[in-house]
Amino acid sequence: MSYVITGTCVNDGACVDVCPVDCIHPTPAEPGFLGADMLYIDPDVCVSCNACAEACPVGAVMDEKSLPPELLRYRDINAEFSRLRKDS
Amino acid sequence: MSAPLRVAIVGSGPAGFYAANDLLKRDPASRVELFDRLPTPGGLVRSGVSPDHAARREVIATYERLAMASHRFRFHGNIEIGRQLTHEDLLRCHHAVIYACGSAGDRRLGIPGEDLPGSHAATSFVSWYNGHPDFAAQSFDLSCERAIVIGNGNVALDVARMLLLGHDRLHPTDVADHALRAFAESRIREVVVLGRRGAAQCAFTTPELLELGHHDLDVRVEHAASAGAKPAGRDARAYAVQLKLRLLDEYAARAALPDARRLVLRFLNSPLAIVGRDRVETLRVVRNRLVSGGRGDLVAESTGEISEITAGLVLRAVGYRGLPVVGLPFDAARGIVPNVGGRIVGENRRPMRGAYVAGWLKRGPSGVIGTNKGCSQETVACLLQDFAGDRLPIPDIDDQGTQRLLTERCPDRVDYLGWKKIDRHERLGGMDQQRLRVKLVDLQRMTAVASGRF
Amino acid sequence: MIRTVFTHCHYCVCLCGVKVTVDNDEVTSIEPDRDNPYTWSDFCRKGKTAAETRKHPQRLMSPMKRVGERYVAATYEEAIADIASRLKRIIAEHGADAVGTYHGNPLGFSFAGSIFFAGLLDALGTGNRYWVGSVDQNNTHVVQQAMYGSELIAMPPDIDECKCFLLVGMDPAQSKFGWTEVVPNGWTRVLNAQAGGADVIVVDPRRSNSAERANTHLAVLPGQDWALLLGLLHVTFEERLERPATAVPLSGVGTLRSLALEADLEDLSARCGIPVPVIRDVARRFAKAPRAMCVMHTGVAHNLTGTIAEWLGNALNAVTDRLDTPGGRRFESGYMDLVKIFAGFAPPTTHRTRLRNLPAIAGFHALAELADEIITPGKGQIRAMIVAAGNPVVSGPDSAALDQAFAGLDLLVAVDTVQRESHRHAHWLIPGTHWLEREGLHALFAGIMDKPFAQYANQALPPPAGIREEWSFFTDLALAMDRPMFGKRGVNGFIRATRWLAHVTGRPQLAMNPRWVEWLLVASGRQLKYGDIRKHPHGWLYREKRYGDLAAAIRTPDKTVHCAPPAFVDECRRHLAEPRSLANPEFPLMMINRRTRESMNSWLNETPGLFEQLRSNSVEIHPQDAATLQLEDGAWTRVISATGAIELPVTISPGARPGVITIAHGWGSRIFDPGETLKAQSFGANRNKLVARTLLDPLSQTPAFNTTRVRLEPLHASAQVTMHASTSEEAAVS
Repeated sequence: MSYVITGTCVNDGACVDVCPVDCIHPTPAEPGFLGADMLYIDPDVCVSCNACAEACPVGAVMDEKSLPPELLRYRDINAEFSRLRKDS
Repeated sequence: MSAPLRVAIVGSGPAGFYAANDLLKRDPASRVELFDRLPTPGGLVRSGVSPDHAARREVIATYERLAMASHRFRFHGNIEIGRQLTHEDLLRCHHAVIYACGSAGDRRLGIPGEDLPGSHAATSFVSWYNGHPDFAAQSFDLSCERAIVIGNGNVALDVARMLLLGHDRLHPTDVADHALRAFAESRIREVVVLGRRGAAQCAFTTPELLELGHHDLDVRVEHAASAGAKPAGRDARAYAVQLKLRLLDEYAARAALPDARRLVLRFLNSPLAIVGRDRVETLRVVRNRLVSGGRGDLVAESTGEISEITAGLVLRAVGYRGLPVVGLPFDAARGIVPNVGGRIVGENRRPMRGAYVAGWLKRGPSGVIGTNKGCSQETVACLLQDFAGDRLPIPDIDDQGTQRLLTERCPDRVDYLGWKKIDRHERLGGMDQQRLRVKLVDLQRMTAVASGRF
Repeated sequence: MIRTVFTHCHYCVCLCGVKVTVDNDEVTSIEPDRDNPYTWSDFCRKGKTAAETRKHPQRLMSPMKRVGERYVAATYEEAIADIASRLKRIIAEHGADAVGTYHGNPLGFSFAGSIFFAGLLDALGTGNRYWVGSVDQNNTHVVQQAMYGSELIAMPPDIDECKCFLLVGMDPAQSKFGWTEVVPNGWTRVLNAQAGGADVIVVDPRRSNSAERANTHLAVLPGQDWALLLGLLHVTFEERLERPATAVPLSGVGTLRSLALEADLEDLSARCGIPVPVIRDVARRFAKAPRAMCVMHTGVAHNLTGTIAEWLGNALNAVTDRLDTPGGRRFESGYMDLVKIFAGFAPPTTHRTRLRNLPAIAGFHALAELADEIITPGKGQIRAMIVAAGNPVVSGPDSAALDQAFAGLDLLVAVDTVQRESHRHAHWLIPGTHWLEREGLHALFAGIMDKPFAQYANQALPPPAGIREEWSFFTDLALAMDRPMFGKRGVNGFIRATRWLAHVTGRPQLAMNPRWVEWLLVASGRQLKYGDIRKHPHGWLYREKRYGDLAAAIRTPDKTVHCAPPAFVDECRRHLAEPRSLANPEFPLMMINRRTRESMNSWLNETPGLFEQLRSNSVEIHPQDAATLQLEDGAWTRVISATGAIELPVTISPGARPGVITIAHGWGSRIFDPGETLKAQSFGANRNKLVARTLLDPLSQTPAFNTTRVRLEPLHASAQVTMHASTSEEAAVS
């Protein structure tokens, strides 16, 4: 199980500050941050602690189990970016 | 020990609030006073973010609460710096001033017909439907069948979506009452969004593109294919482009929805002229192709292939532009206040003591809400360095004196509690109609509500 | 040189397995140990930032002696000599009970520290022992003693098999399900069970993160969980939904049945604020579920009816066959028989408190009594205190009273990593160690884990030069006082002999140390080998979980589970006879507590890497109450009770229950810089200042942390006209 960032994300980065396992990318300190449409959670690393969901000022983060159908695609999007990032 | 740092921030949008909270956090003795021209805080979060994106508006509430919880923060709405108070006034009361007043102007196309009735800046349209008091009296003729949005950023998609969502989808939102009425009577069935370059170069973000698929719109994609489109990188920007191209392919492959309102994403087209006798009738466009711009980028080049699109409304969404601030230097070409890392600099590149800038006014109108966080943090870091190095002017008016000055010069100012009265009034007004809120759009009425007279 | 050390976090009972990367003498990262087979997935920022706590700027680096209003560094020898002579004098003049002691929560996470501190107390011979457990877990010990015959029979939840969770007074989305049981990944496992069809019912006055995820959230009135649970029993008996107990024989069911059926369901419903049809529905869902459990945590413990509620919840489990059955509350025997060891080794104390004549619970008296035992003159008055890794002023009720009491002590010795609020008046500050600097097997956790698991914690780094481990200080103090460690004659001589042997052979491991105790305990269980445990650096799931051990472990004389202990029945009848609580115009609101993931009570809140957003607690209030009181989000308010007053910012929260405000505990605890006594730092406000020390659950001696009546007064004027002094300045002037 993992948490998922959805399209409401405004790149505030509050989630990055509270993540215990540094699974949210790009972080404000990483070079890709300024060009990022949104931030992404790496499902292989996420421990589902809920901290990011509580910290997000716009409610963009959800437990994958709670995703409504129209947002399900963000599960794949988070995973896909995370894989791509790790491959590089 | 020196007196605690006092900072004035002008503009209560994301950049202003990010700066305020960063200051309050990093210097636990600092005091911050945040000024806004309007009685309501939020800047573009209130008047720019699309009404159907209610969650994003919450970002300001979070930072308002956080700033207030410090007990070292005040909000002063309905005060225009440069009119009721000058830069010099602020510096008599504070060690430093951070300007975070954004980019209130819009960029123009520079083509014939741009001032014909029916041709507007998208920024005005956005401010109008979001109930910005300065735009409440405007009107937009939505009686035509087709509208054209020129531009390929998020604002372009926002206005296109707003034009097509329809009354039922907009009613529960906080869209301004006058706009809701206009949308109810709108006859627009199709919006064409024009992009000068190709799909791989568009500036709107993947979530905005993805969302178009949730609204029962007939999304058409034209001229998306472009040579060398797939970027090879693996960073977030490259991923976003790859995803956008994939999403556009999916839209292109979808069966048409003949009865639905239609959104056309037409790439590789530049406007040449807006044509009409008394008002907008058609838009003349030219087909582009992409050629190397010489610095590894692709630029649009005209093919000479000209066509016309009939439309009654043309909205140019080609960007915001910063406006000069009274008493500050201004780089008109870039629409920003010249600065180094947020320290405002004069002609000789020498910093103006105690004057700082953050957000769009510092770096130009780009990025999303959160981009301003790092931008404001950089400015705050410079300010704190200057404070620590005794490079800030010492205010000669104390806190009580400041409050007296404010009372004298700005009798109609709206404080945090006043804003929360407006906020509650708007929410309660919305509750009766099953709407998120009904925005107050009249300044006098706002100040009356804020002071408890209504 | 870069090393990787595998250990587990010792901040909370999640005991997350962690991988610590050490570069020479610095910890460079702490991550969850994903090779740990069991305990890594609750990893949070408390663990991630543990190295920051270790490097605390105010950390005590040597013993510090108070000289007037200042502290000066001293050697351990000076400290031990001075403390020993002062303690000896006090004991000689006033008796051993004149020395009071306090076990703090972090001490409980150090096996060596807690065992050797107990050894020191036995050496001193004092019965005036206080501990943090008395503020939140006494009710469980009282219930375990009465129902199962031992204060130490905890039954961890068997989550993975459960089909219906009744979770009362807990917020596992924050706490991760750990409290007096170790349930790694507990909340995620509940959610996984829920995805597989399990029913999740959360009982909590506020709509917590956990309640949001529940199938049903029952917003019970604070302190009235007992009425809800009695209502559930009423329906269970009335509708004949009981299930015969298969794992353990029950007794007293008849009495329980009569009590439950006599109670009027409408009355119970009115008391707890849950409509009768909902009570009926939940009772049926729970009783009819093939496998179910009722679990109660601090929300239940923290009020005046915590004991009877804990009992009724256990009784509900008993009569629906949820004890030691799959999916219920399973008994984990561990790798040694702790219950038996304690029964044999340390017979229960018969010591009673001087003033209120109350017995000890789980070997300790209640913190609520401590202030009076210090300030009230007479024979047996406490004149000296040893506080071990504790912050009782902040953890206990009526903080102002205990602070004042501490100010009048002849001797206050604080053993901790920094000088905290409770150590303000200390005469001696003795440095403590951080868990990254310790190693060992925490044998006491074996019986509260939900799976048979053992992990030896490895030391990531040695303590800073010159700092001794707590157990060593305690031992040295007993030796210096010439009082027998562990209260057993001959132990001191033995320790001296082994130390001598270690010295002459040059092999320090030959000196008596806590590893020996750990080894002995493991060996006594005859199940595992200590060496085998140490061979599993990531931890060891040493066997499959099993059922059926409870029947043999029960220590009631008749070997049955007592479902209706008379004291509980009487207390329950007393509450039933009392009128329902009336509106209180002076204090119209009820204050409850909450958990926060990044907080560990009072001792991490200043850590730089925690609380990135609001580094404070706040007053969480329902929008309706906020509107009535004209309070705005973020604005400040004064919270006033009959006992004290504090000031905090407001958080308007739609999840709050009208009439109930939530303020988290552990905040407002200052950290002092003993080198520079004017410097102090604190964040938020200590809500326990509002809680009375006299109003207690008569059975568990627990104060009303969750049912303290308060009123709010807006601080509008100060929010807008004069800004508040900053937290740090405020601390500096006081």
